Amino acid sequence: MKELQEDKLVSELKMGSESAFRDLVERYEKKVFSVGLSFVRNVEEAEDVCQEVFIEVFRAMRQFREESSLSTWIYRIAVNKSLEFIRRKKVKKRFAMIASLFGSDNSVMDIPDFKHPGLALEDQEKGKILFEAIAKLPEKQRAAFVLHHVEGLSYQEIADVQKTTLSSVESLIFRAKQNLRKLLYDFYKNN
Amino acid sequence: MKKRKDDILNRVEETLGVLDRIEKVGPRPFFYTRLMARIANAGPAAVRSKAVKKLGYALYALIILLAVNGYSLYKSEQWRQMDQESSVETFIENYHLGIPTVYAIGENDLY
Repeated sequence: MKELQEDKLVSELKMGSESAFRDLVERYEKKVFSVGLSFVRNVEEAEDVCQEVFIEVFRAMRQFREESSLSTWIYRIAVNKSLEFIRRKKVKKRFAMIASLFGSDNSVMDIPDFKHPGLALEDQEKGKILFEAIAKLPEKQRAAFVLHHVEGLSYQEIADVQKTTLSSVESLIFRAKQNLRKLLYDFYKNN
Repeated sequence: MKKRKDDILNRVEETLGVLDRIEKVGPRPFFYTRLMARIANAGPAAVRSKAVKKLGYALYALIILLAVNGYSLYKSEQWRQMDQESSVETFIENYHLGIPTVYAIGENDLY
């Protein structure tokens, strides 16, 4: 199928065209999945986040004011949904911990053994350590770092996604790198 | 010591280097079909549940507000009563009204 131009795609999506929605999903599913995967570090959960993102896009399309590009808007939703998912998971974990104190068996499975499907076998171990360290960064630094180093977005695009200035993105990524280096250094020092 | 530090720094850089070798992968096949099924199943219900959730939060906030108000009203009433009682007691104490004087003793008590 021939890809529609972005403005035509948006207008067709606003009219509720299903084929336009399919086109949009095919265009962005890899990007959205990749963002989700970098945040949640689990393939099934990343797909869950990916679905939530497209459901949100489907629902909110009519309210999309086109102040930013479609890709910026989708990336913004993807980052927000990923962070929401992690927060929800943390709450569930805490609740499960409390419940386990009272003998309830509703424990949430934590899967620390993350295998990134986009990495070669020899990079899997390092990838696991790297994404573990990325997960420890503060939310804004994490988002900016993932969008730049994993998704390949420019600083300006990240500034648009995060609704912030170019200089603050520069500073976020600089601090993220510093923190990552420190986290990884401490990890290797102790292991 | 310095060698160990250099080794660690090398490992850090190698680990960060993984970022350049990540390949883009998508979700499992038939993602669109699963997505449409989810939209069809949970479409209006999910919107409704969001509204119900919001209403729930508002209701909780209202209950907490009423409980706090009720408690402070009850406490202030208690304090007001205590204040009143203590001021009467102070008055009695100041004017020695609690001590029976010769005028307060009845005739029968004299004999």
